Amino acid sequence: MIKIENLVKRYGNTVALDHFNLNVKEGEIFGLLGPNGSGKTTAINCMLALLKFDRGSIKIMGEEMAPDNYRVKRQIGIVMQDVAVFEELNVRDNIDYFCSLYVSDKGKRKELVEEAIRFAGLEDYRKAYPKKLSGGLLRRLNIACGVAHKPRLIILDEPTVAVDPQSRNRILEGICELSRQGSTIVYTSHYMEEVEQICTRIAIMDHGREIAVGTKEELKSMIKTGETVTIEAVILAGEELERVRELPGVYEVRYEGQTLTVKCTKGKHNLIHILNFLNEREIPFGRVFSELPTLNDVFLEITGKQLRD
Amino acid sequence: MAVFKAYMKIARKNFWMILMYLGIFFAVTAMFQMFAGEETQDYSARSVPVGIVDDDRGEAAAGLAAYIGKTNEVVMLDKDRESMQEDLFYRNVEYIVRIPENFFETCILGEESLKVTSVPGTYSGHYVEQQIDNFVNFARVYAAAGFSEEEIADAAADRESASVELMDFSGNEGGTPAYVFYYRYLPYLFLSVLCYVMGYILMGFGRGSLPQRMKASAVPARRQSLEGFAASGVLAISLWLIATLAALVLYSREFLNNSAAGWYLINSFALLLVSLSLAYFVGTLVKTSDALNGIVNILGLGMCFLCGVFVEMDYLSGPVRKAAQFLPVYWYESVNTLLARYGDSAGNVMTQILSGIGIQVLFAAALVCLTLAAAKRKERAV
Repeated sequence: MIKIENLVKRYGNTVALDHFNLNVKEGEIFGLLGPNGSGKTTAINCMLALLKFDRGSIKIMGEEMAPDNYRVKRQIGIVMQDVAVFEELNVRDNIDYFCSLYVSDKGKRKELVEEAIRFAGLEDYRKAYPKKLSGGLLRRLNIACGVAHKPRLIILDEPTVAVDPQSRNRILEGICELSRQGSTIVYTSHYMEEVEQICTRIAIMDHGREIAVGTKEELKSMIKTGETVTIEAVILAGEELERVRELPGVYEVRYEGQTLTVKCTKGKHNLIHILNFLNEREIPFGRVFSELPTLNDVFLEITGKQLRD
Repeated sequence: MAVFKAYMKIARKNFWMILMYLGIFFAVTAMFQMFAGEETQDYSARSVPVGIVDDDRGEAAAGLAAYIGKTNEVVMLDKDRESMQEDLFYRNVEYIVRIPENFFETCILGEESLKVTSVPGTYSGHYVEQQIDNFVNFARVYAAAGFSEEEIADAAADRESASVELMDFSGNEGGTPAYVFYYRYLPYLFLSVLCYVMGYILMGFGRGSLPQRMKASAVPARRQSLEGFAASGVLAISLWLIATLAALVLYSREFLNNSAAGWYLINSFALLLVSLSLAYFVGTLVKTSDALNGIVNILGLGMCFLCGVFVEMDYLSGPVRKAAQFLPVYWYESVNTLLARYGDSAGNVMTQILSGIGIQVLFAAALVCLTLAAAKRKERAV
C-alpha cells in the first residue's frame, strides 16, 4: 500500500528525515511510533505530497505520489494532528463538506455523512458548532471528517493528543472498526500504549530514521529484557545487592529509595529466583510487580533514552 | 462545487449582519437626505429690528436709514442710554446704529466708523454691519465722483439689489437629487459588508491546518481557488445588484432620467471591485473575529470619514484631501461629485470621470497583487 525508500527531507541544516524507509501492507494498522520531533509528521506530510523532499521515493497504491496525483488522493483519508474543521460550520456541515471533496453524488454523500456521524458517536451534536464541543468530541469530529468518504488508506497523525481517556478509547475502537471494514491505517503517536493496543505492525522512529520495524512481539524480541521485576519496601545491604546481580537471568539491578528494580533476560522462573533469594536471607519486602517489556523498553534499549524524553 | 457551497454556507451565517449593515446604510442615507433637503430652499433676505439714533439729521443719514430700512424693520430711537438698553434687553431691537453729527463729513468723506451696539450672541449684527458697509462704500464712491449729499441719498434709494444668475449644469435645477446622497454613502455598505463577510469566510479557510488539509484533498488547488473566486464574485455582485435595485426602486424616474445614471452604476461597480479586493486582502491577513471587527470598522468608517462620504469633500481640509488621494474611496467620491455637478453635461468632464474610475481599478489590481504576495508568504511559513 505504501512504499517509501531512502526518503531524505532537510529544513536548512536540520535533517528531518534521514534515508527513511517504510513498507505498509494492505489491511494493516501500521503504527509510527517516536518521540516528538522524530520526523513522524514530516514523513506523513511527504506521503501526502504536502512537502517536497530532497531525495527518495514514495509510492502509494503502486503509484508515485505527487501533488497532482488526485487519483491516489481520492482514496486517502487524512486526520491531521491539529483539528482541521470549520468553526463556522456545524458538525453535520463540516463532515458533509470534507466528504464532498471526495464524493460528488449528493445521495451517496448523505448516507456516508450519517454513517460517519454514527461512527464518531456525534448523533447528539449534529447541529452543534465546533466551539461548543469538548476536546474529545472535537477530535472525534476531526476523525469523522477524515474518514467519512470511506477511503482505502487512512492516515491519522496523533489523533488522540489532549483527549480524555473515554474519548481516546472510543477513537481507538473506531480505528479498529475502520480496519475491519477494509481500510489500511497509518497511525502516528508518541503514546506507546495506544500503538501497542491497536497496531498490527509498528515502526519506531528517531532522528528521522526508522530504528526498528515489526509486530510488537517481534520488536520486543529484539531486545535483551524479558521481564522487569520491581520489589517495594525492601532493605538491602551492598553485599546482598551483589548477590541479586549474580542470580540467573538478571542483567541489570537498580536500587533506589528501598525499591529494587531487576531486569531479567527472557527465561522462566526469574521472579521465583529473586523471591527465593529474599526468603533465604529472611529479607522482608512489600509489594512485588513483574512486567513484560514495553515498546518504551525497546526504544530505551535501542536508543539509550526514554520514548517520552 | 464543494468550496463554492462552503463559501455560500458561511456567508449565509452572516445574513443578519448583512441585514444590519443594509439597515444602517438606508437609515444614514435617509437621515442625511432629510438634512440636506433643507439646504436646497431659496435664499431670502432676513429682516432684523434695527434701532437708529440719528444725531445728524442730514440727507446722508436719512439715506442710510432708508437703505437699512429696505430689508429691515427700522425703529428711530432717542438718544437716551437707559431706553436704548431697555429696547435691546426686551429685543425690541437687535442692533442699534448711532449716526453722529456731521455724518457725511466724518464717516463718508472721513474715515470714522459708526458706533453700533448689538445683542450679544446674535449673528444679526454682522448682517446689518454688512449693509452699513455697503452703503458707506457706495456713498464714498459717489462722493469721490463729486456727488452731493442729496444726490448720494437719492442714488442709494434708487439702487436695486444685484440679481445673480446661478448656472446649473447638472440638469437638476439647482437642487441635489436624493440618489446623489444614496451613491455617496454606498462605500460604507460595500466596504463593511464585503470586508466583513469575505474576511469571515477567508479567515475560516485559513485557520490552523485547514489550508494543508485542503491541499491534501482530492480537489485540485486551482479548482478550489476558482470556486472561491466564483463564490466571492457571486456574493459581491449580489450586493451590487441589491444596491442598484434599491436605487431604482427608490429613485426610479428621477434616477433613470439622468443621462449620467449609467456612470453612477459603472463607478459603483469599480468601487465594488476595490471593496472585494480589499476584503480578500483583509481576509488573508486577519486571524480572529475580534481583529476582523476592528479592521472592518477602521477601514470602513476611516475611509468614509476621510474620503468625503460622511463629510462632504468641500468641507475637508487641504492636507486631509491630499492624504485621501491615496485611498480608493476618494476617487469614487470624486467621480460622484463630478456626476452630481455636471449630470447631463457629464461628457464635458469625461476625462476626469474615466481617470477616477481607472484609478479605482488600479487600486483593486494593486490590492490583488498584495493579497497574492501575502498568501504566498503565509503558505511558505506553514
